[in-house]
Amino acid sequence: MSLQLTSLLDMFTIILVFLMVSFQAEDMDFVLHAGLKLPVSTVKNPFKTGVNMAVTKGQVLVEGKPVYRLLKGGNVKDSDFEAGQIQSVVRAVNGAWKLHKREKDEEDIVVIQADQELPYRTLHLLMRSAAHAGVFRFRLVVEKE
Amino acid sequence: MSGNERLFSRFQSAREVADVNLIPVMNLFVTLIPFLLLAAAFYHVSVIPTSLPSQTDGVSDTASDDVSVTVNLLVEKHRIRLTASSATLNEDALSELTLEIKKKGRGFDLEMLTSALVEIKKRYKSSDTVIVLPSDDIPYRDIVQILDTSRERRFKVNKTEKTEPLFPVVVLSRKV
Repeated sequence: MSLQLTSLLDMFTIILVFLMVSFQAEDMDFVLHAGLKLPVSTVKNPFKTGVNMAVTKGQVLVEGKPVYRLLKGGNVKDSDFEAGQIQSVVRAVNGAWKLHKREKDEEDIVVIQADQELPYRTLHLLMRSAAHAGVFRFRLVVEKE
Repeated sequence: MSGNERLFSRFQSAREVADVNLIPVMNLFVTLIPFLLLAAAFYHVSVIPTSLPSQTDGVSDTASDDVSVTVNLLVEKHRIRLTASSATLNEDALSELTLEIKKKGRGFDLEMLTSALVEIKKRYKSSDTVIVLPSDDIPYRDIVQILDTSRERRFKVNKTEKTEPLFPVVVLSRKV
């Protein structure tokens, strides 16, 4: 008695087609931080690597390491805002950028993945902090529509 | 050979042809599926290039006979204020481009913003820069929507969606 493989083969064919459609040839070197909801956008630009900065509702991470704790609602401390920079973020971005430049010869870009509810005040202060570290160009990570 | 036997032998040979050996195909699938599972992207991400305003000592690379404007979008809680700045246009021409877009329901009237930007782009074709100045409490999601609207116009021609670039160079700043 031979084994009936037809239905199994049908299932495999469907899975194979689905996986081939969602196949991503590009190595993005990007890990989406858990607990973060990205805004949806119509943009179709290719992903470019750089210094990774993740901004959740509670903290800021540079290259996966927590560097700053945010206040309720994703806000920054008034003292940091008045200072125009967050020292811990400046140090972390500066260190990560130098490492990226040495190891991967990458452009000076900070890739920011921020929660969609984050207030602009926080986002702008983080960008300014990165600028203090010498990086003026940014890539805002969004979910493709 | 009787008629029945002949019929049975034809049925047998047909059955033999129908029994294809599927094991090699299965082997191939079993190898391909884990490989594709590892490389599959279930969450599609993209990036919006942006920068902070910076001051440079260099001379502008824009040709002097090209009249271009930089669009400024001051995003407040209940409105967007559109203004334009230019090194070549006078105050009267720039004030003609000023517009206020009120909030429509929960979000901003982005269609009105698109129309205004299309109009500016038609008049000053070499313009490509938009400076977005959101208020402190504007959520990041709303800023992304405004950036999408100012970057390109989406329209349909014969049920095919097309895009037309408007102001693809985005600078994020803050009103002081």
